[in-house]
Amino acid sequence: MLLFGFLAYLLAGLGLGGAALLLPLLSRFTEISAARADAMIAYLPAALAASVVHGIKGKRPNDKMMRLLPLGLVGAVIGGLIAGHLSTGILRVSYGVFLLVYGIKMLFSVKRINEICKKWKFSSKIMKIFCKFFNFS
Amino acid sequence: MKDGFLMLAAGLLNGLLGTGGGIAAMPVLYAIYRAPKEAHRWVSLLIFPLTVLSLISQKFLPDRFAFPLSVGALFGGLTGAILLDKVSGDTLRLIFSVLLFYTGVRCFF
Repeated sequence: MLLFGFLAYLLAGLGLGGAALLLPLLSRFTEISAARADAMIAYLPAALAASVVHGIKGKRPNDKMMRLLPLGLVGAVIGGLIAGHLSTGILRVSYGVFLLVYGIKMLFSVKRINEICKKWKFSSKIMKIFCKFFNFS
Repeated sequence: MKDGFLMLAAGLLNGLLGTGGGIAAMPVLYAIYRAPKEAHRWVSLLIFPLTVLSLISQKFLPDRFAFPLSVGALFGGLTGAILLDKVSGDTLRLIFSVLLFYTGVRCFF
C-alpha cells in the first residue's frame, strides 16, 4: 500500500492526477466507498507536500486561480451531497468522453506530435484538418 | 464564464466521484498559466480544499489502507514536486495525455 501510494501520488506531485489510477487497484482490496475515501484522504498529504515544495522553491500561485476556487468549493459540496442519490452511469460516460477528447487534444499539443502533423500536411488534407482541429491553439 | 463553469464541474466531479476534479480544472489552469508546467504545479493546491470538502460532505469512511497510502502519498507528492522542474512541458503533456486516455477508456469499462 505504501508503494501504491508512493507511485500513484508521485503523479499527483507532478500535477497529473491523483486517485484516478489508484481507485481501480484499491477497489480490488476493499469496498468502493472506502477505496474512494482512502484515495481522497491520501491525496491530502501529497498535495500539501507538493505545494510546500513549490513554495520553498519560491514559486507562487496565480491570483486568478485562487479567485476561481470558491466556485470549485461550491461544486464539491453539491457533488458530495448528491453523491449517494445520483446514478453515476451518465456522469462516467460523459466524463469518459471529455477525457478522451481532452486526451487527443493534449497529445496533439506535444511538439513531437505536432511535427509529425506538419509532415503529414503535405500528404493528406484530411490529416491536416484533423491535426488543426485537435490543436490547442 | 467558461472558466467558472469548468471549476464548478471540477468541484462536482470531485464531490461525486472522489477524483477527476484536477483533470477537469486543467483547461482552466492551462489558460491562466499559459505554461503547462505551472498549470500542473498548482493544480494539487487547488484541488486540496475541494477534496477536503468532498470528504466532509460525502461522509465516506476510510479503512485500514488509508494510513499506509497516505504515508506513501506524502513521499510520492514530495518526489513528484521535486521532479516537476526536471521534466519538460512536452513530456508532461505526453504523460498527461496517456493518463487521460487510460482514465477515459476505464470510464466505459
